[in-house]
Amino acid sequence: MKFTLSKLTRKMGVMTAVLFSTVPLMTTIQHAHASDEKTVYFNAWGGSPVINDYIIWASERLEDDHGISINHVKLTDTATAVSRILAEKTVGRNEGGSVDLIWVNGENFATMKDNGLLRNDAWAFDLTSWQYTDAEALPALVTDFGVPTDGLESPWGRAQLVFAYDTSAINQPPRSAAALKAWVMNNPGRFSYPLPPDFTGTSFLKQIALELAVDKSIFAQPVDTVDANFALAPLWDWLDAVYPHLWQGGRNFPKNYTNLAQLLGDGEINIAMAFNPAKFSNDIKTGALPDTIRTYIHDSGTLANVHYLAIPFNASAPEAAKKVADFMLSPEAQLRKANSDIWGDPTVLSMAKLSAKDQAAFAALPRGIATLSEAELGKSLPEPHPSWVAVIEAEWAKRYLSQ
Amino acid sequence: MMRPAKTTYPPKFFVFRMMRFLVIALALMVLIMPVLLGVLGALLPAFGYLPPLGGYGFGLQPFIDLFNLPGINRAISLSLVTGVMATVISTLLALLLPGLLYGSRLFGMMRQYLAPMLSLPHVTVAVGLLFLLQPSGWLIRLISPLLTGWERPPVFGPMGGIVQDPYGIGLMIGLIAKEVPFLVLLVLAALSQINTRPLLTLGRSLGYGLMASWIYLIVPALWIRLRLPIVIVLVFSLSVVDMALVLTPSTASPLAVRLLWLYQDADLAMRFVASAAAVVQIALVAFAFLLGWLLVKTLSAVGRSLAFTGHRFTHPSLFIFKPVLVVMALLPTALAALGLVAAGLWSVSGRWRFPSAWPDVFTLRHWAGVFSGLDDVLLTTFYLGATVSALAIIMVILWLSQKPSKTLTMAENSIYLPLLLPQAGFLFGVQIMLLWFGLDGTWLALIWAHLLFVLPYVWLSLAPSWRSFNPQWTMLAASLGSSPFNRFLRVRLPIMTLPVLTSFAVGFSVSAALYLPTVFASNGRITTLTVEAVTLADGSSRSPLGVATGLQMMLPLVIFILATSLARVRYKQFSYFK
Repeated sequence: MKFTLSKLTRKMGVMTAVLFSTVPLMTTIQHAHASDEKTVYFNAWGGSPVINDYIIWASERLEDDHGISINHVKLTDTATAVSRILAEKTVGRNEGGSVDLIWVNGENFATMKDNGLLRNDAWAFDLTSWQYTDAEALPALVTDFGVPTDGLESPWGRAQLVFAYDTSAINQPPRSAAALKAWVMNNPGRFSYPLPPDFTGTSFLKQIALELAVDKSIFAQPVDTVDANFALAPLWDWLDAVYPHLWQGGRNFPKNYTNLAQLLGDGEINIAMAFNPAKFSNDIKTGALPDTIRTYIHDSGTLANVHYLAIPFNASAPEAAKKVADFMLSPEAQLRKANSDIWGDPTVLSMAKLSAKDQAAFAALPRGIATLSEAELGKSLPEPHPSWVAVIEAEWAKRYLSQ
Repeated sequence: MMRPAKTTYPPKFFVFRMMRFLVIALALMVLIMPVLLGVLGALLPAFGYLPPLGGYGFGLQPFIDLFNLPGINRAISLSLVTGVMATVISTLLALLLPGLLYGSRLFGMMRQYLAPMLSLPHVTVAVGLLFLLQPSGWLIRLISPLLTGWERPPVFGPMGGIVQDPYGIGLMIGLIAKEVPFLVLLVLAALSQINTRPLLTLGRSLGYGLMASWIYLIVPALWIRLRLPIVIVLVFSLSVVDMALVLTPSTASPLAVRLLWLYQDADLAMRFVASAAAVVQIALVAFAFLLGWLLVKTLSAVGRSLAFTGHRFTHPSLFIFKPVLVVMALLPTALAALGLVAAGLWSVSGRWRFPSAWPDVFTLRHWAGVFSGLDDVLLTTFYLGATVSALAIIMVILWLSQKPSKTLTMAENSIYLPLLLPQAGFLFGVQIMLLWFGLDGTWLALIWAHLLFVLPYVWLSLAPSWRSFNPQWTMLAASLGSSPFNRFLRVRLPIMTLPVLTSFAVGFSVSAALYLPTVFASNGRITTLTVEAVTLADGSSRSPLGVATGLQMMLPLVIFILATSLARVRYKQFSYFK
C-alpha cells in the first residue's frame, strides 16, 4: 500500500509539473513585457516606417539614459485609443490604464479634454525642455485647433499639408482647389485622397472647404453656432464633381498618406499629399519614390498645425511618460526628428532659445531634394474649430460610403 | 507473473480519474462559459442594456441606428454573398478535385503541395494576392509593357483591380485559396477511413465512369465526415476581418469589418450599435447555415434522382469540365503562392519602378529593420504559439485518456463552439468581461483567448490518431508489470510522437494566424506578427509589409518542419519503425 501511494504521489507530481511547466515561461515573459513603471505604452499612429523607426531610436536612447523603454502600440486611427481610454474611465479603472502616452491633436485632444481623460496637473509646462520653446512667437504651442492646451499636452512637432506631383506626368501642378478639380476631371483615375477619418484625408477635406469658403472666419467658430450646411455646400459640390473621376472610380480610397505615396511611386496616381513637408524628399532618398517627384502648396496657403503628446488620467507609468515627453521635446530629439533623412518633421523649438551649437546644428540640417523652403511654405491656413471634424466626416460617410 | 490487462479499478484509480475529470470540467468552465457570456455581452447592449454607459432600458433603438448607417445594407449583403459563395465553391472543388485527380500522378502530389498552404495565416495569403493582382501588381508588371503596352498602371475605374473590387471577388479568391487546401487535406484523411478503392471498383463494375462512381459513392461518405469543417469554413468566411481588410475596397467593407470600426469608434454610444451589428452577424451565420442546409437537401435530392435513373454523366460536353474544375481548384492557391514570391521580392527591393518586372535595386535594409523593431513581436508570437499549443495538447491528451461516455462526447462537441460562432459576435462581450476583471492586456487573457481557437484544431488533428492507437502495445507493457502512468509515458507517448508533434505545429500555426482574438484580449498592448502585418497592410509601404509577410510565412513553416523532422529522428530510435 505504501508503495502504491508513493507512486500515486509521483504521478500527480509529474502531472502537476507538466501542467505548470508553462507558468515560469509565462512569468518570465510577463516580467519582460507587462506594465511596470519603466515601460511606457506609447499609443501612436503606426502607418509610417520612418516614424516607427524614430520611436525605436528614442526608446533606445531613453533605455540608456533612464532605463525607460517605449512600447509603441501602433494605431491605424488614434480615435481607437481614445475610445479605449474612455471605456476604461466608464468601467471605473482610474489607475493601471492601458495607455501611458498618446500622440494627439485637434478633435481627439478636444474629446479627451472634454471627457476628463487627461492627466490634469499642467505637467507639460513643467518639463525641462519647455524652456526651449516660445509660445508667444508660436501661439499654436498652447492652443490646439483653437482649444487651449492648459499644459495637458506637450508639443512634439509641427506639420503643414503639402501636395506632391510627378514631374514626368505633369508640367504645371494645379495650385488651387478649382485648378485641382479641373485637373482631376481631365485625368480620370489619377487622383485620390486618404479615406476619412484618416487625419490626412480629413485635413484635405478641411483644406478644400477653407479654400472655397467666401468667409473663412466662419470655420473658427464651433460648428453648432453657425450655418454649417451653408458653409460646407461648396465642399460637397466640389467632391461630387470629382468623385467619379477619382482613383478606382471613388470606390476605393488609400488608407493613409503612406499608401497614397506608394500609389504615386507606382504611377497609379500623379498627385498625392502629406501632412509633412519632408515626407516626399525622404521617400526619394530611400528609393520608395522616383526623383521626379516635387512638392507644392496651394496659392492661398495650406493647413498647418502642431501635434502633441498627452498622458491619460489613468496611465500606469505617468512619471516615465513625462520623461519620454521631455526627451521628445529636447534639442537632441527635435534635431533628429527635423532631419529630412530621418523623419523631417519641423521642430517646435525656438531657435533663439537654443545654444549656439544647437542652432548651428539645426541650420546645417539637409533640406531634401523635394522639400519646399520655409519661405515657400510661408502661407498657411489656420485649423478650423475641432467640432467641424465630426460633421465633415459624418456627411462624407453618408455621401460616399454607401455608393 | 501475468497481470490481467483489464482490471477493476481500486480506489486510488478512482481518485486519479476524478482528478482528470475535474481538470476537464474546469477546462470547459474556463473555455466555454465565457464564450456564452460573451454572446450575452453582445445581446444585452444590442437591445439597449449596458449600465456603465447609461443604458438601462430595453428597446430596438440600436438596431434602428445600425440600419441607418451609411452603406450598412451593402456591407451585410457583401458578407453574405462572399461568405456563402466562397464556402460553396470551396466545398464543391474540394469534394471533386481528389476524384478528378484520383489515380493520376497529381493525386500523390496534392498533399505535399497543399499542406504548407495550411500553415499560412489567412492575412498572408491575402497580402500575397494584393501584391500580385492590383493594377500596379507583379502580374501586370510581368507582362507590361511588352504584351500590354502599358507604361503606367492601367485605370480600371470602379472595378479597381481584381483585388479590392467592390463585388468581393478578390475576397472570394482569397478565401478559396485558403479553404480548398484545408478541405482537400481533410478529404484525403477521410478517404483513408472509407473503403475508397473497393467502392470505386464496385461503381465501375456496374458500368459507371470514375467521376460518376465518385459522386454517387464517395462524395456522400465524405460529406458526413466533412460537415463540421465545412460549417467552420462557412462561419469563418462570413465573419472574416483580417482578409477583408486587405482584399475589399475601403468604401465597401463586409459587416465584420464595419463591426470592428463601430467598436473602435471614439463615440462610446456607438457600442450599442456595434452590439446590434454583432447580433446581426450571428443571425447572418444562422441564415447562411439555413441556406446551406437547403442547398444540400436540394443537391442530395438531385443526386439521388440522378442515381435512381442511372445517369452516368457521359455526355461529351462534360469532359471539358474536368480541366476547368482542376484549374478552378488550384488557380487561387497558385496565385496566392505566386503573390508570396512577389511579397518576398518587395521585401528585398530598394527601388522598383513600374513597369519593371524585377526590382531595380536590391537591398537587405528592410530585413535589417527586423532586428530593431520586429524581434519582440517575433518572440511574442513564438512564445504565445508554443505555450498555447503545448497547453492544448496536454488538455486533449488528458481528455482522450478518459473512458468514453455520453457526457464526455457532449463536452467534446462543445469545444467547437468558438469556431461555430462568428468571432466578432462574442469577442467584444468577452473583452468587456476581461476589462471588468482587469485581465485585459495580460498574457493570461491572451493565452486563454488563443486556447479557445487552438484547442478545437489540436483536437481535430490529434484525436483520430490518438484513438487509432493499437491498445495491444499498452496491454503488452501492462503484462510486463508496467504501471498505467509508465505505460502512458514510456509506451503510448513515444509511439504517438509524430501525431503529437504535428498537432503542435497545427496549434502553433492557428495561434500565429489569429487576428481579432489577439487584438481584443491584448487590448493593443501585446502585438503578434499577424497584428503587425494587418497594421502594415492597412496602410504602409510595400517593403515593410513584404518583410512581415515573409516572417509570417517562415515562422509556422519552420515549426512545422522542425516538428516533423524531430518526430522522424525520434522514430528512428525504435527498431520497430526502421
